[in-house]
Amino acid sequence: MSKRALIAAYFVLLFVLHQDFWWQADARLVFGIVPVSLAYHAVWTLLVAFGWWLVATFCWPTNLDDIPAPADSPIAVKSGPLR
Amino acid sequence: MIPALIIGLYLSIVVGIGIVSVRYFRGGTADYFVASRSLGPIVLFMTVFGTAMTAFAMVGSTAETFDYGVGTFGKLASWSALVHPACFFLIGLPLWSLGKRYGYVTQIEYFRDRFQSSALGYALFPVLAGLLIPYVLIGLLGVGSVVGGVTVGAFPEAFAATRGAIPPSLTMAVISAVVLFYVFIGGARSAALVNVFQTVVFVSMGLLAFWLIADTLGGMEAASAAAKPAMAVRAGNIGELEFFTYFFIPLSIGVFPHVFQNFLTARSAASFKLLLVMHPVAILLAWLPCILIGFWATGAMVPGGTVPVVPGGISSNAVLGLMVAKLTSPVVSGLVAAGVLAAISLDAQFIAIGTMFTRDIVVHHFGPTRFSDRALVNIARGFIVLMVALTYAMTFLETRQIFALGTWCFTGYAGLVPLLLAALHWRRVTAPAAFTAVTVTAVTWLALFVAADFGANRKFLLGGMLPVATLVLVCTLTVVIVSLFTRPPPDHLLAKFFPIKTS
Repeated sequence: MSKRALIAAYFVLLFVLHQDFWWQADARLVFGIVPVSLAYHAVWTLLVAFGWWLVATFCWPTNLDDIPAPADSPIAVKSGPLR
Repeated sequence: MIPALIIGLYLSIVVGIGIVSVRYFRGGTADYFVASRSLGPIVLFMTVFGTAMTAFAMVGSTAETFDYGVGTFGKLASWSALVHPACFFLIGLPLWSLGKRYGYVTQIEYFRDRFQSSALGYALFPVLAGLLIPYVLIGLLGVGSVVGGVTVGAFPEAFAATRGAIPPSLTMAVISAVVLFYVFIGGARSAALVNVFQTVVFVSMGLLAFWLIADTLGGMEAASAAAKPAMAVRAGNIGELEFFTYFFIPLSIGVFPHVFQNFLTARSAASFKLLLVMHPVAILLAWLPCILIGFWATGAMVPGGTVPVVPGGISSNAVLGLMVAKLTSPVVSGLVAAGVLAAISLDAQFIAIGTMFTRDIVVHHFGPTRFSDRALVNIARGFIVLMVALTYAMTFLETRQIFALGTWCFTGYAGLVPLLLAALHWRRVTAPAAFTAVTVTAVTWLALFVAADFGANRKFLLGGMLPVATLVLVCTLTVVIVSLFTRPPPDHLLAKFFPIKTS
């Protein structure tokens, strides 16, 4: 399985795990402070950030910066000092 | 008086940043519209995050939690943490690359070129620009409401009619003037620098309020123990299908014209990496404290008494203001109000409106050589002033419906995401499909909006789901079905838009 497929599977898993129906009626407080469902979603959010770090590290497009801007583009933004 | 002074200081700093940023203004439309595509990863991240977050991140999240419990974080914040970066990666990054290559500054320029259809641009302009106006309107009304709330009693003689508070009409006029000032002189570059400052202010002020409120309530454990257990759960507050379909709301960021323009300011593709990784973390930092403040507000009592901090029958939008005012000092009230103002960033929307009119209507109609660069910048400035004046005038109309309109703006933008995704990633999508999808999505949006009593029915659901789910489905089906039944795009067009292979 390629890195890209593994990362895609990771995001599919996160997508499914967002619907935490198992906590939906649980009013317990984690460390006596944060409702358990809220704590779960806070951790879930950090796992999402980790997923995007994986994307940025292992499956980032490589040649996006190499494309030259054609000078004759009919709608290109003008640059340089004001005329 | 102290909160008013702190707000004044905050606005002075914003104006100062605008003046300083002019030193870096390079002149011309390239700098005015997209900061010469020169912003690095940190400024890009803070600008996009600051633009994506609205007053809802502070005031609305607290209010929604007070009314519907802590599920607010899951339905709005954590879905955004996943969906926003996905839009940056799947929409923002390819559009940035195409924009750099072909010189696009607006989405409509891309759509016109991608589908070789001038008419498509004229169909999209009223939809994209029209949905921005209520968005700006909501921001202005939010500003007026927040400043009015924290300055009650500050000027009893000057503003007796508002119990001494600065009247919303005056606040909105001042804020509009301040934003216009720095947008007018520095365009996208000024807006980016101001957004960096604003992002730091609103995230840090939320954390400051959280810390001080917890301290006054006897610590975080005591505050949570006093809160209503019914608000610690999702059951009874929101249906499971409704909770799930909130997934579609943050898709709207992929089509926001002002965020599109933010994408184009990036210096390189690598600038997006920090944005992807840090955006979810920043959402957590900005939202979690406010969600907990809203949760604590359900049981918080004024210290040393049995009087609730939030009395019954009061608008939930006042919850954050009351918690800060009654449990901290006037200095903190002023700082938090400045934080809310910082979250309400209208500059990017102003610039986007001016840019779309200049590029998609004026330049498209008269040709790129008809006006000088200086004239185009001045046309954009003039149109921005006109739109701000019009929007300000609209704040004097009946406003309840306008607030309800906020969700419908997001719904409308999200409905067009399937078309944008198809244009970027599906070679088979055709111009007739694009035109039909815009029309069908706009008509469906209008029908749903009317069915929801013009937005007044805040609990309008279809089969237990938010209307945005229907809209996304309708747009997707239209794009796919019409594309498959119409002639495929010519090879030379596909070669132009699909030359990039990812690693």
